[in-house]
Parts: sequence; structure tokens; C-alpha cells
Amino acid sequence: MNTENKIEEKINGKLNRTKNAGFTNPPANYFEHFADNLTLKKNNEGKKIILPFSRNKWLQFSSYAVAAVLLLALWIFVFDANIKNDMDVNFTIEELMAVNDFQNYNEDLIYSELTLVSDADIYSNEVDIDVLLDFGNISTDEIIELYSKEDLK
Amino acid sequence: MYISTLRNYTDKEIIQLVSNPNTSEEGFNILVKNYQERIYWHIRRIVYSHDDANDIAQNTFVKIWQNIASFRSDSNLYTWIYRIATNETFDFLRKKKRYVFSAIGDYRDELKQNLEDDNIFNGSEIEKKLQKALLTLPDKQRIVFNMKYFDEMKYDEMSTILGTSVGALKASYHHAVKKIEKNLDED
Repeated sequence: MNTENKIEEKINGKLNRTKNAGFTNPPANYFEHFADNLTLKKNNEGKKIILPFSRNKWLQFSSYAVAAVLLLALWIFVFDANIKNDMDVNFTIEELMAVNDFQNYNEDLIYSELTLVSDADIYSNEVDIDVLLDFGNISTDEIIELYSKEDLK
Repeated sequence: MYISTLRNYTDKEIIQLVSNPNTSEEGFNILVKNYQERIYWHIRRIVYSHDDANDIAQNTFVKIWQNIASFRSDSNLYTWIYRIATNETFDFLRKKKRYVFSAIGDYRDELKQNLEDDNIFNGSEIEKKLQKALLTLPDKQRIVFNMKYFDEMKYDEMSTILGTSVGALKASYHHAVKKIEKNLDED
């Protein structure tokens, strides 16, 4: 039994593994009516609502201009905050390379490598693991395309 | 609805039903019945609130409905649905991070508060402790832990759904269980 299984067994010993993980159940009959609610949403999807302001071009243009300025301000605020956040991370090229090497490790190598990591280092290695777990950051539309018949052409 | 009550359908049969214009609505209803609960809990364990989980689950199935006609029948329906649901959940978290950051602080604080709300969480103390420990993990690691621990998924299935290597998933899960063990041992 590897380290991971031993720890998992220890966790299991402390708690009763359930599907809802301690979260409250959804309202009664929720799953029975889920498909019905979905039908309403499916049918409404794509419908355009015409607001009175959309009939006046000048009013429409100035609304978009104000929205664009607000979005730009918000983007600058968030972008600036992200830069500040990124600056807090201590991350070297060597660490990144080590992470890339990790991709080629087999299970045993990973476990033997990770069991050498001290408890204190587990927290500092969090960034490495996050980089290692590259989910590709593709959009739902791209996922749909990947599984689409059109992809075969 | 009539067909779905008679027996369980395989993914292949569901795709066949959905592909036929005469049975597409019925086929889709069977697909929803088959997957709604698993997908709901997959999302709920990440976003905590029922309302958010409901919105994401509904969006997931609407996107599936809009694109099921172009779905390649040789692909795995199960991984496709999970992949869309996971992506929608990530999108939600990304948006949440942006909004909550400026207003209250870390969105994780909001999730932590949710654990104290009886309408959202009514598990045991040890289950609460596990969820709090999970909140110390990065979101991707949290999802990996949930899929492996609660959904008991295989690494290769997770690899297809998350679009990442099996090695990375194993390393991540190993790290996660070690951290959680440490958290549970404290006090």
C-alpha cells in the first residue's frame, strides 16, 4: 500500500465518506423538476429583449461609451491587483523546469519524490503543483469543438 | 419521460436517441435524468451554495443541448459532460474571484462563511473540518481531490476531463491528502 492510500485510509477512518460531503440536500423534488426548469431555459435561450433605449441611437451610443470607460477602469483596477498578487509569489526558473520534468515521472517516482517533501514545504510547493496542474485554460466552446463531428474533417 | 422510466439507457443509446430529430427531446431528457445528480454534486462541492450549483448545472445542460447534435458519437459522453461542467464551474469561480476581490476580500472567505450557514452545510464537525482544509488548497487541487475522493474517479478519466497529465494529477492528489491529513490531525 502506498503512502497516498495509507493517508486516504486514515482520512476515511475519521469521517464517513458521503456523496453530499456534509452539504445540505437540494430542495425536495429538485431533481424531479430539474429537467422541466431546463426546458424553460432552453426555450428562452437566444431570445432578444428590445429595450426602449435601443431605439434611440444617440442614447445607445453614449450608454456604450460610459460602459466602456467603466469597464476600462475596472480592468485597470483588477489588472493592477493581479500584478501585486503575482509579485508576492517566489518562483524561480529552476522550479518551473523541475515542474516540467515532473510530467514525465511515473507513479513510483512521484511518490518517492513527494514523500521526501517535509510538511512545512508542502505549503511552499503549492504554486508548483498549481502550475503542474495545467488544465489548458480552454473555453467551453473550445471543448465542444474538440468533441464535435466537424473536427474530423 | 415515458421511455426513461422503463429502463436504464447506455450513453450510446442516449446519443442515438438525441441524434434522431423525432426522439431528440426525449433522448435529452434521459441524458439529463442520468447525469443531473452526479453533475449537480460535482459542482455543489466546489461552489457550496445550492443556488450557484443550480445555475451552473442548468447552464451546463443548456450548452449540452445546444451542441449535442454535433457531438462525435465515438467520443465518451460522460467525460464530455463532466468536462463542460468543470469548465463552467471554473468560469464561475474566475468571475467570483474578480467580483468578490474588490468588495469583501478573498472569495474563499465567503465560501468559509457558507460552511457556517445551516442552509448550506449541515454535516458533522469532522466533515466541516475537511471542507475547511480543502479551502486551503488551490481550486484546481480542490477539484482533483473531490473527483478522486468523493466521485472515486480513475486518474485516466480525470486526465481526459481536466485535460492534464495523469502524473500531475497523482502528484496533486498526493499533496492534497497529505495537507488534509495534517489539517485533520491538528487540534
